[in-house]
Parts: sequence; C-alpha cells; structure tokens
Amino acid sequence: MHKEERVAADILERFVEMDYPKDDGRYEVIAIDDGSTDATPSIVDEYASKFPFIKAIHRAGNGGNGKPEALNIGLKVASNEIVLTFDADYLPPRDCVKRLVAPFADVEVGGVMGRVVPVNSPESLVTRLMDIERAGGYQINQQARYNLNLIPQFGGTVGGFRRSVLKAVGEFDETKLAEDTDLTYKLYLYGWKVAYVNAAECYEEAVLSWDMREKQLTRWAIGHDQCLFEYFFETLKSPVLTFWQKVDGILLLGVYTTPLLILIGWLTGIFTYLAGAPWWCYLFPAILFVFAYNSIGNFAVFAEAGGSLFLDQRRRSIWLLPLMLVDLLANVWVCSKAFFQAIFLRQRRCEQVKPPVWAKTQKRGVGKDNYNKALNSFWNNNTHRWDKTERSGNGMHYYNERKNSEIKRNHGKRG
Amino acid sequence: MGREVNRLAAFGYLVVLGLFAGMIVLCFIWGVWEYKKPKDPGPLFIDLDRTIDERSEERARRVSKAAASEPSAHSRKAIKVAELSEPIQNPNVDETIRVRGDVRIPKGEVIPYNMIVEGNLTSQDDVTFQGGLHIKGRAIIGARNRIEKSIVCQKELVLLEDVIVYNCIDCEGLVFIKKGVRVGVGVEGGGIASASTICLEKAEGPLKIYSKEGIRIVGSVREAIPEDLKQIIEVKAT
Repeated sequence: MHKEERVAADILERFVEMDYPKDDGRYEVIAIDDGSTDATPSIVDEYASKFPFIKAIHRAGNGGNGKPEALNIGLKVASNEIVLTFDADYLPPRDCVKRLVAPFADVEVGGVMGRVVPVNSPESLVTRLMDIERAGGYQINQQARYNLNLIPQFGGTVGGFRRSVLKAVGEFDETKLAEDTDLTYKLYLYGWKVAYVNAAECYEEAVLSWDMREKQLTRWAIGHDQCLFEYFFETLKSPVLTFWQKVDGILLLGVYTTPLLILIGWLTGIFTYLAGAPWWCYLFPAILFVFAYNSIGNFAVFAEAGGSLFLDQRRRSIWLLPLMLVDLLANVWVCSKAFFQAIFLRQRRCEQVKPPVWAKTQKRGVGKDNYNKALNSFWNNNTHRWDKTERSGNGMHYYNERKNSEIKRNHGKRG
Repeated sequence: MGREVNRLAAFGYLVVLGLFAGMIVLCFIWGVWEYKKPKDPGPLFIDLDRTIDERSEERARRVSKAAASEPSAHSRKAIKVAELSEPIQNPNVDETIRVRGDVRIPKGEVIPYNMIVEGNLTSQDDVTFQGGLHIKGRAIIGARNRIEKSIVCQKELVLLEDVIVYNCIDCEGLVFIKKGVRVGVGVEGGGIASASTICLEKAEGPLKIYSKEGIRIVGSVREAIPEDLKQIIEVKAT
C-alpha cells in the first residue's frame, strides 16, 4: 500500500470478515505500507493492534518503488505455504480466500487467479468500458485458456502462488513492470500450472479518467513487452510446454503488440489506397496476414466482451460495445508507444550489464553522447517508474448502492 | 437528358453516402444512449457477505495435506536447481522494516533488512538475518540462525542451539541460551547484557556476559523456561 488512505480500511475490514479459520495460524494478513506519507501507516497499525492475524509492515524512506519490491518484503515474513495477493483497492467477498486456495489441492498447480470486477463502473465512460473489457478478459479469455489447458495468466492480484515455488523460481523480478506475467511464465517454464477460478470474484476500483488509463496501460504494456523479449525463445524451446501451450504462450506474450500490428495494418491500408499496391506487395504474402489480423484481431475483443456480458445477464451493457472503439484507439496509441519504450528499456539494461571494453582513442562522439543522454533521461524520467494509480475510494459506496438495488429487486420478485 | 442523368447519379451517390454515414451513426447511437441513460450501469453484483456452505468446505478439507504440499517431479527438479544457485549474502543492509504484530519467520528464510518487531518474534531453524533485530515483545530465535548485527529485545529472549550473533545482545527480560550459541563473532565483537537473569545451558565458548540479576548455569534450558514460552517453542518445532 503506497498512499492508500482512502481504501486501506475497506480492504482490511474485508479480511477481518473473511470466512476462513483465523485461530490456528493458517490465516495471516500482511499489510505492507510501502513508505506512505499519508494516514495509511496509522490505519494498518490500528488493524494490526486490534487483530492478531493482521501484521503491518512499514518501509521507511525506500518505499513507493513498485509492487514487486513490496511483495518480496512481505514474503519474508509470510509463514504459510500458500500466499495470496490483493491490491489495496480490492474488495473480496467472504468466500474469496477459500475459493482461491482450493485449486492448490492439485499438486501441479503453482499459481491461482480469480476474477476481477470493477465496482465503480457507473462513475465514468472509462470505468464502464473497463467493466466490459474486464468481463471479456476474465470470464471468456481466462476461462477458455484454463479449460483448454493453455496458459491462463496470474494477474498479480486476487491470485496466489506456492511460497516455496516462488522462492525456487527466483522471487518477484523487481526490474519488471509486469511482475505477474513474469511469474506466470516462470511457473509454466518450470512445469507448474496456473488455475483460473471464475467464482473467486473480487471487486476493484477501475481507473477513472483517460490519463490514468494511459498510465496504467503503459505500465502493463511495457511490462508485458519486457516479458516478450525475455521469454519468447524460452517458450518456443521449452521441453515442458505442449504444442498448443507454446502457441498460446507466444500469442499471450504478444498481446500488447497487437495494437501495434493494427496500426501497421491501418497505415499499410492507407498507403496502398493512396499509392496503389506497390509491386513488392506481390512478393510478400505476409502482408495479407497483417490485413487479416487487422480485420479479425480488431473484433476478437468485442466478441469476447459481448459473450461475457451475455453470460453475466447484462445484455443492456452490450449496447456499449461499439464505444469500445474509443478504447481500441487509445490502446493502439499507448501500446505502440509502449512497445518502443520497452525496446529502449531493454537496450539500456543491456548496456548497463555490458563489461567495460578497452579504452580506445577518444572520439568526440557527440552523436552517441546525445543518444545516451536521451536514453538516460528517458530511463530516469519517463518509464522506469511505478506510476501510482489514484483511487477515488468510492468502492463501498457503489457496492452499497448496487446491493440495495439488488435487495429491492428480489423483494419485488417475492411480492 | 445528360444533365438529368448526372443529377440522378449525384442524388444516388448522396443517398448511398447518407446510408453509409447513417449506419455508422446507428452503430454508436445505442452505445451513447446506454451511456447517457443507463439501464445497466453495473457493477455486476457480487454479494460480499457470501460464504461457502459446510458441505463443500468439508469436502475441501478431505484433501490430503501431504498431497497438497508435494511438488511435482518436474518441479522438484526445478526447485533443486534454483536452490543451489540462490545467492544469500547482502552485506550492505540499509533498509529497516517495522512490523506491527507477531511475526513467524519460516525455516531457511533470509531477511535482508533490519527489523523492528512490535510484537513477538519466532524464527524457525536456519534463518539468516542480515540486519539487526529490535523486538518489543518476546523473541525465540531458532536453531542455527545467523544474526549478522545485534539483537535488542524488550522481553524474554530464547536462543536455541548453535545461534550465531555477530555483534551483541541487549535484553530487558530473561535470556535463555542453549548450547553452541556464539555471540560477538564479528569484527566489532560484543557480548550479552541483560537487565534480568541469564540462563545458560552449557557455559562453553567465549561468551562475554553481563546480567543485572545474575547468571544461572542449568543442565537444560527447558527446565528454566516458563511454561507459556515452552509451548511456543514446541509449536515452532512442529
């Protein structure tokens, strides 16, 4: 928790009410105050002093560098084998922990993932679109991957893993912006599986505005692309994965490059319309695949979201689907940008670990210097930071409104 | 005649264009309508108070604990490889974490921080603390633990077999020391100071000890340890 005073008490209250045996030491809640300067430390301390199963960890000074670092600290004092992680803005139902730990009865399961549902969907257009996107992403996408024995993803929150396995595969990588994707691939490449539990639903506060969405998406996309560069060949060569898991693994790694392919498809389309198909088009049938991907790939997410809303019996929300085009446009811009940022980050990291080469006669080397300066400023100022997602803290308000309407509806039915 | 044909063609062109534009607008009009006058603004209802009924809970409990914790053959191999290559030393400890509540450190863990524990601390065997410890409650330091700095404890402190403390120990309560414990092995040396009594199982090794209320040498520390602390140690051992 980094500056989460608006939501800290709500999530701790949910864990106090959790339907799980609390007196035999199997259930412990570790609240990590990641160097907050607001009221978060006092809130978590208050809960830790009231309830023996809650522990508050405070990082002084060094906090706020991102979730992987904080998680690694929490893991040091976690004394049980199964560890579940939740972000501060989440509101799990009372059965959530039981549902999430159940799949670990299977000895092959190393990680588990539940379903995320935005609680503040009525708040803005962005939250409504996020609601639809989340529905498709979990109920259809993750569930299908799990059912087909492909690669369902550990999403870093409303999920968990075996502590011993995480230690064995090397803890959370603090250099990654998507530590969850990183762990998913580590688990699969070491022969473990991730289970998806659609019934382990949990509310989250979705981002409110487009600029917050851009920050969040940039972080996800860069992190995912970092994993793409690292695990692409490992996934292809893995002796553990099945053929279809490899295919799915590669597609999942490339999920944030899809918007870039779409952009290339659009630009190619405009170019060929204006200039006519150049002669080399005939030599590269691959371009046809770009067009095909552009045509079909664009609509996959719409079909996924529509199917999920249908299953959730929220048919009226299907009307909003065309407006997801706005989200698609935003994705195309943000993810394409993030792809190049991830390449720069990788190059920068490679340069840092290179051993020094011999002291050659000095050249003026202005071009390289300027390039390095630009890379440095890019590295320091723009990308390698964990952009904080602001919370409105209205989650419980929207939940209570929704609950009241549900009670009224049921009351009406009985009457 | 030619002009009329041209007009007709232009009209037809406009109609087609209009239809095309209309169909595009039609796509979005429903979305805008639902957004402006929502009938289903969400969220999807999840009853936060729901629980799993007893029957399914009992079924889940029947799963063998051993089976649940046993990694697969492939994974066991992976764990072995990873453990062998795991680096554990961190000489530059500059971060302190403060924990409110009781802490149990699992077996073999490496803690690369200074720790302030506002509660009781129990560590299992083979834990390495690369920083110092300040415990406001009781502390039970498991066998073969390594503390690379000092321990400050405000209540009872139990050091089990073969614990190594690089610097010193300052304790306000009773101190119980089992055999093989070494204190002050680092370059800065150090000893044990207690504002209460120190119970030693065997007076072996170069221990520098100061105790306000005296030092007792006992055959077995277990005899001297209060009953409630004994229980904690037994739980830890299991």
